Amino acid sequence: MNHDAMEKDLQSAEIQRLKEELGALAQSREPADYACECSWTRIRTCLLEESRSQDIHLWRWAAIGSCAALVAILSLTKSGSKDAPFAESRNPQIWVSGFHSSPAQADVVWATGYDYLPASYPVK
Amino acid sequence: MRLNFLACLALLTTLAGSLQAGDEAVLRISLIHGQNENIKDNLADCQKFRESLTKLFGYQHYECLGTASALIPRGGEAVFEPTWAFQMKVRSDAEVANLFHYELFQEKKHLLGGKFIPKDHIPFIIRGPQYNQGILILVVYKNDPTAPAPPK
Repeated sequence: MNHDAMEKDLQSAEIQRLKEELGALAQSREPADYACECSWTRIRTCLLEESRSQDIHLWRWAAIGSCAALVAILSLTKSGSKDAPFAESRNPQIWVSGFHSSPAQADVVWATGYDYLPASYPVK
Repeated sequence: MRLNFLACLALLTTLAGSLQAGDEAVLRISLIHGQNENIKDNLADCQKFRESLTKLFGYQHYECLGTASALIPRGGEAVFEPTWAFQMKVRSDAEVANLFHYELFQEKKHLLGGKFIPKDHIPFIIRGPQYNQGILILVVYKNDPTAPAPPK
């Protein structure tokens, strides 16, 4: 059990104890004392409840933030891999790799291992 | 409510447009020779394109040796032959819009293959073999009026 959970359990126990104290006061004290104690107990209860609800809000915001970050990362990596060109070669001498080059603003297949073509090769 | 309806209508129109655009594509394939000297540089009118090549390959001069273009319908295929030495068979995927499968040959000898998604104004560049004192480059464009014109 982590520290936050232990603290929440302690707070819950404290709230329960305060409620029981409030009930006992209602039966044992005079009306004037009762009003005073009751107000003080109510304030403490409210403070504890507020503290606990702030914890929950923080937890919620942390969870929402983590989910948003995860979705953003997944969508970015997925779109990147989906759009990049794919290449393969049956020739074991030719090594190929496909990627998107941002500096060149181009989709690129980088292949190496071809046979050299001399100037005498009639490429046209 | 009305705004939501208009937003949905705009989204549907965009989707319909993109689907229709994925039905067929005009592809143009050029064979480029990059070298630092002793070639006829005929890509002077394509500065943006030259910048891409320079950033990738570093040569100072580029000559377009040949260009071939074809309209490929969805599910159809075409063989591009920018020069006699290199052929590229391109097939449009019948199930996935705007996805193309390609096979590159040098004198009928298979070099490599794969698939790509052509994008407007973003060339698809394949590094070819070393030639003379430079390199050969194959470039595929889709519907790009700024692409190099066929050499005269």
